[in-house]
Amino acid sequence: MSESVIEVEGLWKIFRDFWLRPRVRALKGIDLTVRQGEIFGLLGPNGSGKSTTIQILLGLQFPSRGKVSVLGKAPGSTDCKRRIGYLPEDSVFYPFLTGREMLHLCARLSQVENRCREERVEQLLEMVGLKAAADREIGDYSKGMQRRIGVAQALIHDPDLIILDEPTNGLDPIGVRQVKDWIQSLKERGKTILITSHLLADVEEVCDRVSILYGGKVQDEGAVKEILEFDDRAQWITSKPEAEDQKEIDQFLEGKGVEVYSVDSSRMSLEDKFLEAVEAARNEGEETEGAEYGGRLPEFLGGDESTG
Amino acid sequence: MPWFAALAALFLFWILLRILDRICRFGGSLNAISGVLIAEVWRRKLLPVSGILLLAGILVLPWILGVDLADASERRTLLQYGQGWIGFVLLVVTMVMCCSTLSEEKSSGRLGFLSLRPGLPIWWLPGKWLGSLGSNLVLLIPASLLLLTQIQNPGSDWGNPATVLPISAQQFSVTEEDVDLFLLLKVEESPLEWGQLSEADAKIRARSYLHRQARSIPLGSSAYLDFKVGDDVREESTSEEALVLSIRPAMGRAHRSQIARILISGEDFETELLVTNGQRSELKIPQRMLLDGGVALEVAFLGAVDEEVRIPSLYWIDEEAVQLLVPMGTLGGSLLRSQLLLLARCAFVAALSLAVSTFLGFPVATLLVFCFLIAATGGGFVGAFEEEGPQTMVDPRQEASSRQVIDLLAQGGERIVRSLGEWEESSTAEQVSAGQFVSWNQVWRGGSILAGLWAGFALIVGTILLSRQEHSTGDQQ
Repeated sequence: MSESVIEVEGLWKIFRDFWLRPRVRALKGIDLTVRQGEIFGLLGPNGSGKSTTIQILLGLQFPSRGKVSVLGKAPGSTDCKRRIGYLPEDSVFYPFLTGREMLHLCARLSQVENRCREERVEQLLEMVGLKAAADREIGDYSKGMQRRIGVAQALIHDPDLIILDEPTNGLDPIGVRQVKDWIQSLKERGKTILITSHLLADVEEVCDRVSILYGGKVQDEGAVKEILEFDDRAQWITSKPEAEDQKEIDQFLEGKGVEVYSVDSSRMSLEDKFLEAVEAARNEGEETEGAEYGGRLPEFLGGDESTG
Repeated sequence: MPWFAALAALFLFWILLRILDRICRFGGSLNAISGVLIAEVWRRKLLPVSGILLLAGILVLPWILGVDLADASERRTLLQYGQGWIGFVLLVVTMVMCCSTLSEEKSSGRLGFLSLRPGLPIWWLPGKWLGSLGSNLVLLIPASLLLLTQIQNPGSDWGNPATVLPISAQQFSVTEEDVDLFLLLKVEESPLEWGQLSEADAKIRARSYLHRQARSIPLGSSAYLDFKVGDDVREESTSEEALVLSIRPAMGRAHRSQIARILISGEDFETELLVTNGQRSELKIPQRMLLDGGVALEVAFLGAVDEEVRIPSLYWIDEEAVQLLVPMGTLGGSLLRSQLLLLARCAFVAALSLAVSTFLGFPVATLLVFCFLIAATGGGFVGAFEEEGPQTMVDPRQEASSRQVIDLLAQGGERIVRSLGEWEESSTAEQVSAGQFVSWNQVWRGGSILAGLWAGFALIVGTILLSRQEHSTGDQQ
């Protein structure tokens, strides 16, 4: 079994008012384990305690009760901070700084050495497709562009654990696809990733394991394949049979006592159709003022370079 | 010409800002945070707008005041108002800059987000503080130079005139030794009157008596005035310039139009002077009177000019009533040191604003610091606790143990308020416009107490408060 990166045991968080009376019980004794190298999804409706859990894991809020360990250390310790990359749900970047300045600032605050700072910033700008917009103020960026700069800042110091709060929120389908590809690539490079999202299809696609929160408690937890699998159903994807052949197949299945719930024509997903259309326009030389196609993950991520 | 100077000052302002921006691009977290504050105030137009306002204000000040720059006294008026304008703009900009930056970062979740970076909570406040100091410097340098050029207009021969160092008479300070010696004599002279008193009461009475004696000259008698001039002052004072005795006598209940005759004499010098009740008069003293230790003068009170009026005695209300003005330094130098003290005041306001905005929102934090400024500029700190004077009564209950804790707290509070009184004392704008010398000692004292001790204390408290708080990276809390 892989080493645990995040371990949460009996975690409670009670927000109190000025007179220390309990105001909100956000977490009611949750247990959570995230292993090294996996993509873990934290799901739940609004107010279920996802954000509070993340804030506690980051050391921004203090637990009322319970044990929390991140990368083997107490949350909020300097060692911990050096090894965590975080993409917040809201855009909290300085609106008056340019994208390039913001990345430089994050690199300096993360104590990235000067000799590799410039290179990393340029590589990440290339990756998120903001090279052309790098000298524009973040306040002028669209929401999707702000998410992209957010992804770049989370990776600037080559973290071991990456926490992404609604990573695809506000992104166009190209951006969503890219983020999902980056997440997979990061996993391949040995990074551990914790994701929260309301877009369940995205979570289903990228996550190895998920935990579903409701009312401050873990309602279900496990590997995505295991918890979504029907024990009594199966699915084949085949070439389209002739109408007569299909009747024969139905009869054969009925004879075997297999119940057929639905038979559909296989369709392309809207995401794939969208990507195809944009790719075609790009190949025809259409120009854009917004974010461009990003690239692959830069080499420094997952490499041995020190963060200073 | 003034327009040209103003444009040059604006250009200098821009150049200094570029230099500061370059400096902030190097180094670690501290410099990075300072750089962000400077970028914030520049790109959010606080710095350019205040810079233009500041320089435009100095440019139009002669026109608003209606001063004739050919007249030396009117140039001093311009100097006084100019310094006042610079001080006002700088303090307001500092307050707004420091209160808004941190409270906005807290409310937007930016502070929580950035505090995820290693080592940040320690550098957050000092970084912003240094950034605000840098911004102040960028505003202060061109504004001060523009003010100087306004005063030294080419039509006049004013140049960079000498300033004077006012020295008070030695007799005005009553030391513990003086009190002890006086008591010794009095107890021997009249043991029934003085010997019965407790030691503390006797000392209070003796001090009060000596204070009165040192400051008054009865009709027909004389008093000695010794002015101690330090070695450094003697070395710096130019021999061509004459010493000046500046006096402002009070004549008790006599009408303020009353004129009296006094005789001032030294080793080989004697002159009679007519002085008006409560008005300042000046008398040139030959440079040769300045001997190794200083200047010694005898002042005799000859009575009122009007023979029908009887003025029983002449006295000096405070130490400033009799001063020897020794030529020392230049106006440019004094202005420079005065502006450094202004920077120290800004440094304190910046630290206070940052510390306050760690737990308050922008409007409330600004209001609180604004109240502080009103209290400080109104002399609230200096006047809040009078020095223990002759009238102080000893409370018999003071010995009770229940009072001791309260008294200890009160004494601590008094010390704090006294130390904060440095705020008022470090305001040297009036000194400069009166042509007085501002010493490096004043800069050192004001700088170390305000920008060192108090700003440091505020920053440490603010940092502790900040590190103890919970944050969030959005507006969900």
